[in-house]
Amino acid sequence: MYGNSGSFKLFVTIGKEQFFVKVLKREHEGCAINRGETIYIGFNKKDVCYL
Amino acid sequence: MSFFSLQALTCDVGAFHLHDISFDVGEGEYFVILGHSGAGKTVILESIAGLHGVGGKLLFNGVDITNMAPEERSVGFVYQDFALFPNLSVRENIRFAGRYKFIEDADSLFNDLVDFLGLEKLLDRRIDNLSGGEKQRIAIARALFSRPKILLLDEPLSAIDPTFRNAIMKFLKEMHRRYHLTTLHVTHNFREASYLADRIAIVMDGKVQQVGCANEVLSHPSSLKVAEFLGFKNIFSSSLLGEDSAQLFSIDPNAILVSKENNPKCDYCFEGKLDECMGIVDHLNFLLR
Repeated sequence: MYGNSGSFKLFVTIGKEQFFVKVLKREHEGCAINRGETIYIGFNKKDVCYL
Repeated sequence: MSFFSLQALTCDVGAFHLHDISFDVGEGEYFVILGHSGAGKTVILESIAGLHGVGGKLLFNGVDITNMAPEERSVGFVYQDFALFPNLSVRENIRFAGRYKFIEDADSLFNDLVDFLGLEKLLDRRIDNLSGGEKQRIAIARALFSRPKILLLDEPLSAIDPTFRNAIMKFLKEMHRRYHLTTLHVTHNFREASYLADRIAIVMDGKVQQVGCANEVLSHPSSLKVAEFLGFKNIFSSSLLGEDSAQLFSIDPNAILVSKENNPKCDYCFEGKLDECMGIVDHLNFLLR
């Protein structure tokens, strides 16, 4: 038996906004980016939900 | 014409007020009323059952039942705390509806319910020292024995050990199909709603905020209020996407790709700073041999 996080939870600041991102742990061996480092995030139109 | 219809239903219970509740429920539908505690979900069920004086209209197959006595409405009600009769045996609880109305094929229905719900060994027991799961099955059997036109379930999983919730959800779905029920199920739990519901009404502060097919409501909230209630993350102004609009958008945290380099494959890309990375243990894996 071992403890396992399904995903890493990332908080990424873009300008004045903060995005919450989930990254599947099985797709990333450890979180390779350190706090304060530059990171790029992206998403597609089909996934945007307008309110 | 819908099977069951609430039309501008209003109700005052103490300081609480239901505002113009309107929705239709189709025959055979599993309809979930989803909302926080205190939103008015139980008051809606109690109004349908005839336990409160109401304004507006309640229609069954086009017949106005708004002022009909509770026992004439053909409604089965399973309360959150089950509300079984402590002075009666399990058998007497289940057959209670037979005291005030004629039940067609009562014995065969009773035997079928006892068999389906696994109650054979409990029939002569008293209610006092039964488990929550046993009491729930008895409360459901009692409600179904009255051959209701509509079954009302008030937070049926809240008093159940979390270990058994998935099994009970599966059971509720099987029961709905087996007895050709029309079910109204009240809950604050999104998982229950997404698994069980054909359609959903979201109720907040005594008002219906959104009604529709389960997938549509859960994936496309009609307002910021509903989106926040459903736990939508990353809600920002569309201007962030370069759009000239005051509209808001949300993006699912699982649909966002991350990279150390700019990712040209996405429609929208942003450069930012990593504030925090959390690798919290949220479940355990068991390796079995």
